[in-house]
Amino acid sequence: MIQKIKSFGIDGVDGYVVDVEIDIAKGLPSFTLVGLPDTSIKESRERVTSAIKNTGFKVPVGKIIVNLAPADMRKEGPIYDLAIAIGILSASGDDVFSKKTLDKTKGTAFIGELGLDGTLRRVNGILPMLLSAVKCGIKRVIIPHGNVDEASFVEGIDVFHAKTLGDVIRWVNGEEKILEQVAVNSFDSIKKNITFSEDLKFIRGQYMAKRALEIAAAGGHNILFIGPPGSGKTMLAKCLPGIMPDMTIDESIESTKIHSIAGILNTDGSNLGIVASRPFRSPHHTASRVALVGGGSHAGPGEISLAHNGVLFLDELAEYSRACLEVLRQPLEDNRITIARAHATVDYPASFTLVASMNPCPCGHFGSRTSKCVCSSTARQRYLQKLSGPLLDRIDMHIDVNNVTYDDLASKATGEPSSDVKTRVSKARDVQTLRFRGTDIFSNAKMTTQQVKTFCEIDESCESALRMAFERLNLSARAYTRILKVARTIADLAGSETITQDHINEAIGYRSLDRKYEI
Amino acid sequence: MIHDEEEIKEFKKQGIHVIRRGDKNYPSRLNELRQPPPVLYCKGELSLLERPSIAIVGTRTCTRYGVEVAKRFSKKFAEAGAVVISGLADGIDTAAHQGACEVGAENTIAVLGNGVNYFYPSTNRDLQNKIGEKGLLISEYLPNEKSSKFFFPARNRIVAALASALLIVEADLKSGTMITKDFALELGIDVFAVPGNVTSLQSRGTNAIIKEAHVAIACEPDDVLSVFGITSPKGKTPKVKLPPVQLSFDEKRVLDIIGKEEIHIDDLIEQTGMEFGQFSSLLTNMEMRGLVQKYPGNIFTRKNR
Repeated sequence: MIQKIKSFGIDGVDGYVVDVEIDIAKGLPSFTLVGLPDTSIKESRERVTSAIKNTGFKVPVGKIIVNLAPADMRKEGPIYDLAIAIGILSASGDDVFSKKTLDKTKGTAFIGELGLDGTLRRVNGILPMLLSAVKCGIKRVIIPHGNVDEASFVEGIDVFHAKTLGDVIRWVNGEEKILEQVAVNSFDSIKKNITFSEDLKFIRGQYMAKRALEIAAAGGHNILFIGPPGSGKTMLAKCLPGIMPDMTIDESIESTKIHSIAGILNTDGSNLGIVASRPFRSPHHTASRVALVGGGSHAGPGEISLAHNGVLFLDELAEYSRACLEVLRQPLEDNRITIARAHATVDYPASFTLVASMNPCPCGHFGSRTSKCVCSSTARQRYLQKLSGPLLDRIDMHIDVNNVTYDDLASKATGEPSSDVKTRVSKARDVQTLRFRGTDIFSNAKMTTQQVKTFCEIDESCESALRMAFERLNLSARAYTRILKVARTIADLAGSETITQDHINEAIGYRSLDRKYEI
Repeated sequence: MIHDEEEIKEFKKQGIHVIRRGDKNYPSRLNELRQPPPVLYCKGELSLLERPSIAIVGTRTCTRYGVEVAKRFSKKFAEAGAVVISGLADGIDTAAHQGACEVGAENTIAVLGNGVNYFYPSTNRDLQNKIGEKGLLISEYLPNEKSSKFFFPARNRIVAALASALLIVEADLKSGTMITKDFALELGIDVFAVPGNVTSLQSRGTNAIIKEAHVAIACEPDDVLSVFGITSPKGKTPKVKLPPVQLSFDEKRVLDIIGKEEIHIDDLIEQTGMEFGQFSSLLTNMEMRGLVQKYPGNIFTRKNR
């Protein structure tokens, strides 16, 4: 007898419907799984048989064949255990299910991994799978209890959560009350629970860095902090998500999809079930290229995609391998990355704000207020050369930070809280949304050269100020459009429609690496 | 003789003058050394060797103070008509060459610890080319010889022997600079040292030799130039009359706060109480107008006009 059960697979960041087909024929007892399953799916044979047995049913004796259709798509992860178990039981002809209730399985999709005792375990990628279910018009989905939080943001579908295989069987057999339906959660209700680990008000001094963060948040500019160890670069970077505008529901869903398939959703202990605050990813500098941009045999998402809609923080930028940094160039430009592997070609979104930090020299103390640099000028130069010109081209602001002195640490004064800065940032973002309506960009940082010409018009006096800056301060040519973009954001923050000389001057102050310093 | 006439012609084609010991233009002062270099490979203007010369040497890991002093003294020496000799190393040496080059590269001689065609440190490539063109590069090593750490102390004896006076700007207690000083004292050359901050590692050596009264103190370029019976030319370079600077109220305040010390941007803004964006714009503007100087780490000083 043949039986078909619906389930889902993941392709990139989107789900698709998988038909789990089970055929039980007479013959020597065997269990075969086909349809390009990975190892974790192949092993479901053992889990499913044990789970059925320990739930009090019998695995039919015969030649069992399970096919996962479409057969040409590679399936990954132990998503199909529940669907296979239900399929085997309904195809067995052992009267586990009555004829009438059997129809119920037709309109229902089953997702979940089984334990040997029949418990249902959480799986990765629930959100994209449910979203595709809505799209395909599937009415009901059964998911593991552990995935409830994530599922509660999908509307337009009945989602039930179950704890064991036994419960699911009883539900199919008509005991409707045994499974609870997942209540739809509103995105706004969750926003109240968002907290940030760092707040600008706890940072003493560092006025320039704080102002630069505000500008970066307002215009989506990438930023590089240069300073001696212990100057608070990491703490500054961690403040950025807290001053960026709140995520919209669409942004949230997009980020959640990526986090969900990567299996890192809410691993930070929060059980919001969704990526509600802007992600902050800080891969260690030993990270490989694949870890950063994504890949592997099944082309999974990398750190840049996990940081989508949020912040990618690269601490000790100069310690990353050159190859690693160079692969960032294209995604920084395109805001997405296409990963092509033998088995799959996947397109992941990767629109993030890059925050990087580095020491000014190998010993770390060049320019420090509190200690002395012991590097030769050659060593310093070689250290800075680790960053390629094209990469620096994509970083709009370079900020010198310095050690905080004891007096600063001891002072009682607290700075401006992140929430106040966020208000200003949100206003500046609104201005940009209006400005770029009808184009495919949404922040000043993403302007093309052509758009810079249109939106960053400056008058004669600004032009001459800029020229003077290039001559007097030894700025390199690549600084030109960067300065204009940052000046545009500064003007937006100030609520000014035109860019004035003051805005230009301030922007010039954030180009520390372009300056050819003498000691 | 090390090279025969044929070989010397061959070098000449490459723009390198070979001076052997015993040749007419071999600097006679080198003969006073215990181990005079048997041959010198030179690139540039040999006539520089005939002019009165002052060597400026010091540490490679110098401070801002050292760079400023070395440049200022060197420039004054060059203006007074002396040739500035140094070793083209990082730090003080580079500053000394640069100071003289501000007057003209024909005012400086670099004695190298490697061949004249080899660039070390690589950051000084442009400077070395400039000096090789108008000034003079001297080395006792074959033109393509790489540097080795044993070459630099040996190079120092030539620096000392070629100079009529030696000025030490910044040096630690045990350093190549001290070796140069010992050679100079042995040869009976006047040695000067610039005193420094007693807490500075870079001035430990100079302060110590001043304390031991081995050398004379140099606080002004004239202290050194008096050896030659000259003083730095006054009014020779006509002072360009700078237009009077119009300072706004805020600019005046910022300059008052900076005072004579260096100050970090955080301290500066706290004392002005201005909003950062406005303050930052003001500071950049002042920097462009040459009122303040910015250093790495966001440290500011007033700039002398």
